[in-house]
Amino acid sequence: MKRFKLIYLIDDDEIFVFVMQKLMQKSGRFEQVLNIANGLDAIDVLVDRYSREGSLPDLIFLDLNMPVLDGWQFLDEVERLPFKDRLRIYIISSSIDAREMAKAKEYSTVKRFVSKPVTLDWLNKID
Amino acid sequence: MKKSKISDDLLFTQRHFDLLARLYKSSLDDYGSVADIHKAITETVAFGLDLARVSYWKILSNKLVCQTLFDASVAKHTTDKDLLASELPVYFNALKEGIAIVANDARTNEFTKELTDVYLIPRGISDMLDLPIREDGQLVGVLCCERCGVSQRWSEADLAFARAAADMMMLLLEQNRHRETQRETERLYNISKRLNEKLLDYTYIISHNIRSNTSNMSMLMDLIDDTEQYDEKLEYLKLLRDSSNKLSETIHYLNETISIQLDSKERTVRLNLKSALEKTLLGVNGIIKKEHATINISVPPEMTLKTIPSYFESIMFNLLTNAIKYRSPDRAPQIDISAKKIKGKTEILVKDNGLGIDMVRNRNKIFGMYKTFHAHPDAVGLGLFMSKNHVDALGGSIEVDSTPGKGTTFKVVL
Repeated sequence: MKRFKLIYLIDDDEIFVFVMQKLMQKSGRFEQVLNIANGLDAIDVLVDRYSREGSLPDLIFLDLNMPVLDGWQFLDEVERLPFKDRLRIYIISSSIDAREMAKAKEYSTVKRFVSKPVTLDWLNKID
Repeated sequence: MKKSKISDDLLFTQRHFDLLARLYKSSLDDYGSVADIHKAITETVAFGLDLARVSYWKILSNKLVCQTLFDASVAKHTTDKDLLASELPVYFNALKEGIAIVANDARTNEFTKELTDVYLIPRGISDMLDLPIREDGQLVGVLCCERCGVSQRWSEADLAFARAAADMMMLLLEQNRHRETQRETERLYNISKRLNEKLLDYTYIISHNIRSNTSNMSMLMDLIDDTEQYDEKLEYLKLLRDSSNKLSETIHYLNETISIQLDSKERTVRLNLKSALEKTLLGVNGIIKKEHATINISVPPEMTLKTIPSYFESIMFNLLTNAIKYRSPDRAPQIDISAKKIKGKTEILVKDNGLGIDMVRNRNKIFGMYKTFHAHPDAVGLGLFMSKNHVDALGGSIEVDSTPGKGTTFKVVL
């Protein structure tokens, strides 16, 4: 099974973050998980770690409804990054709004739109 | 070719033809309002039949109300006093039943003699030619053609001309009613479309907020099922309880937003603005003291405002608590509240020196539901959403201007 070294979990819901970390740990495919609580901090971390160490996450799990910069604003900022094509973003949201799902398709960086809850089974299948 | 004469009486002059042709060629779009239609028809008849006075009256249940009176002697539109139906029973009956009242010498005519003292003599009217105007077969008005001075006989052509003009008037009024119905339908359609969209958004937001808790709960239950460790189960149970509390909280907030959407029936009263603001300040006294905030109210002591007190207080309470909650870490909060009257409306400014909001990024979501702009642990994202709803319910507007790091100014117009 493919393994992922570095994962950015961008979400401000503490309970969800805890549960995700547990599930990812149980799955055993995910090595280092970094939680970031809003879109602006996430952009800062992305740019900072890329410029300092050249490191990019293998996966980004992105929530939509967050303070400061929400998920959409994060995606808009990502569009401006030179390394955006190397990012694999999964939107993980409580939304089941078809308009948001359609909007997600407009971003080439977004691999999939996943509605919460997330299961261990899904984490095991992700590629 | 020799003209075949049916009757001398039935000859139209060229002027008759010209006037009617102009009327027939006109369309509803040439008239800006119902009043324009009334004016055009009364003028046409006055010129065509060479009459001193032509007027149009609306028939209400108990009286005739003059909509316009074209006075040919001065070529101007004016109006006339109401006439009471109870004093004119015979005249009214004749209008209801006939196609026209043709009164040569109106003061002796059986259908119009009731009008002699109250109407005909004071205005010097000798002959009347009155045409009922109907809407869906119901009498709604009367076009009155009146000759002053020496009495003359109305000819068949006079009647035909006046009737033609009256028919054109009925047609135009009918089209106008149709146009108004259409506009009203369009207006209502747009309102319901907008409400529907709002409702859809609202539903998605509710769904999102409930699901964010229930999905956490379902994931926690999966974790509980998947482990044999008692301590681990206990840890998840504790989080399950937290999630359940959060769900209750979410539903509690939802109830609050629903109650403002439905509860706008409260009475408006006239408030003294300054004392209303001071009363709101009492409610936030605790945090003012705690955060060492200074609040200046520069509002003229006599200024009043007609509003729903609970809404007004809630708007001001929200703006004030926000101004303090999102204070700058570098300075003590200072809030200036001022007000002025502009074009009969009250403009209230609430200016703070707090964190400010990035307007470029957040202009469109500032009053949105569950939108927050700072990483503040207590931020729910309902305050400004509720304030906007309250302002909307009061028929006012709310705007914001802000510079990050400098402060924010809210302008509420009520």
